[in-house]
Amino acid sequence: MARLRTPQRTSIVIAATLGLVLGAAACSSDDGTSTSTEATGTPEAEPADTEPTQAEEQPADDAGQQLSDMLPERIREAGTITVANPLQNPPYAFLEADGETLSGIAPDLSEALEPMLGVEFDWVDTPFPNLIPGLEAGEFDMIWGSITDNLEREEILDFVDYHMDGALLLVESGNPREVDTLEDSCGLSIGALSGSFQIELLENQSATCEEAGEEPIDVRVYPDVPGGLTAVRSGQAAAFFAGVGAARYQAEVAPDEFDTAGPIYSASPFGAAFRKDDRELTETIQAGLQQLVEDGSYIEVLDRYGMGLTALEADQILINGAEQLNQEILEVPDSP
Amino acid sequence: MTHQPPETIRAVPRRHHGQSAFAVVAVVFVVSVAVSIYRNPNIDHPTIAEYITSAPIMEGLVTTIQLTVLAAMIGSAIGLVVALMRMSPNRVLQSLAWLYLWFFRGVPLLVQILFWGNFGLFFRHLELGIPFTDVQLFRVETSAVITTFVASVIGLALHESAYMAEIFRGGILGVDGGQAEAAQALGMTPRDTFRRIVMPQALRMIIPPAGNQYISLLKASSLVSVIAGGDLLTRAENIGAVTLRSLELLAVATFWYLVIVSVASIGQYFVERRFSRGYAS
Repeated sequence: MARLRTPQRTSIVIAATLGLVLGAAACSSDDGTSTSTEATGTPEAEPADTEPTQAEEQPADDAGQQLSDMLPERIREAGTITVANPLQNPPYAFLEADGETLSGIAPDLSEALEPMLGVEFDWVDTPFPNLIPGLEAGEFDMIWGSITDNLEREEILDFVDYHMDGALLLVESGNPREVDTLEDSCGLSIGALSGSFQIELLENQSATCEEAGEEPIDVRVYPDVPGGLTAVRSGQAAAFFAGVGAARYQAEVAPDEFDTAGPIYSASPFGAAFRKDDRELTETIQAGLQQLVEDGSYIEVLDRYGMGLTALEADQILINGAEQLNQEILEVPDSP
Repeated sequence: MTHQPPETIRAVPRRHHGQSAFAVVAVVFVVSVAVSIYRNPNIDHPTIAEYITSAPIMEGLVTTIQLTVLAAMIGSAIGLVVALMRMSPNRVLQSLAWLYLWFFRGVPLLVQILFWGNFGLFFRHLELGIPFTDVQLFRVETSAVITTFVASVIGLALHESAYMAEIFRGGILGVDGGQAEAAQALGMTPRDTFRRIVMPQALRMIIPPAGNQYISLLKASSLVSVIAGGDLLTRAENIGAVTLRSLELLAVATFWYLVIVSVASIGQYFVERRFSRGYAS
């Protein structure tokens, strides 16, 4: 029997088709390669003006050509390498007060590499906890600044080690609470950066304190370095367990407010981090850094920030060298 | 001629084909999206299962609930006082209330929390003494008294009180002026009028926006992360940062926030029902 095409029937057919189409579209989105993750949010892309502060030594042209040939195709075409780090992290990578000039060990080294590689480095200000998820999701090409190379991270990323760092206690000037070592801090509030390895060191020490019958450590995790520094200044935290460079930098620029205390714990290399499938880029940066060590620019940059004693030799600029370079405790003389 | 009984009228409910069709489309779409997210290979379900009832998350949950409840209670109490001041015939009280609202609604909550959390920057010690003498009754370091938890509650409560004040004022204004007049005519004191006539009627209009505000407070409580406040979202984020599984831990936090909001919504339903007694719906 013939079916009359009523308005209702038409709308049902259209609606059902739409539903199937939309459903199919929704289903097809899980193809396994997500291009962005919720957790990272949107990193504020602030391509900072890397104004040259001093002229760097230029290596020979053919050496530079060799290096730029090592770069992956996509980078040579784009002409830029996108690099992420929190940019409030002196001396590793930080924006000056004008909000535009980018300074720090990593930016200065990247600036030295630019003429050698023939590409520009485009810095993206990203909070520390978002770095690794963002790199894995392809939002940037590399992480460079204040990320430690450790065995755990080496399982998912490749690192090019570029100087030694570790954990150092930053206390109030004069050290009124007498926090000299990690072992002294039972029962105290100690701050650490979210996602940093210092948290584990503090928690282990806290467990040790409790086993010895003492009060545990109140581990206070801050989302950024300035939060931790303010806590020390206001007395909320007895110390901030920071990276060596960060602690020494603060003690140097604000000696009335901060002092460092104790030895360097867990001396480990800082590395530039790359995705495991981006080996070409990893090796290019390694080669570039080794050249910078050989021509003296590397030590010049480190000395600029007082980090000369954490320098690595050319043959120590390793890929995934955490195991070889790690040291439990590094006694380092207090330098001015 | 035989008289035929009238045909039974077959009454059929009016069909809404468009509505039904749209409902089908909507359900198919929502289910497809949900399944797609659940099946996404980039989400590590074992991690979610591992942390969803873990100790740090539970501690964070308790802290969040404590912060929200305390800030809501204290904020509402202060808010009611400020609302009454705002409606007072006394110009000084009125202006003070206006200033209070201007300040605590204007300063960003983040700044308020940072201020209280780092109060020691401004006043390193709190002392109690007799003025104009050297006598000191006690002296204590600020951070010992204004702990992170106390600072979080103060910061959240003061901010909340400003918004609650306006919600209260709106509800009270909504009660017909004739009610207060009638109460006065009967010889009731202003205090009795307020407590027994105006406020119970006002509450019916206060509850929905207040419920909204409390839920807003629940989410805003996560801002205490900047002073290491240890709430649910902060702890989830920190675990995510260390385990490199940020998405999964955010899912864990989201789950618990949804649980709390569901419980609160059910509670709100029953409270609203109680205060709607006597009104035709």
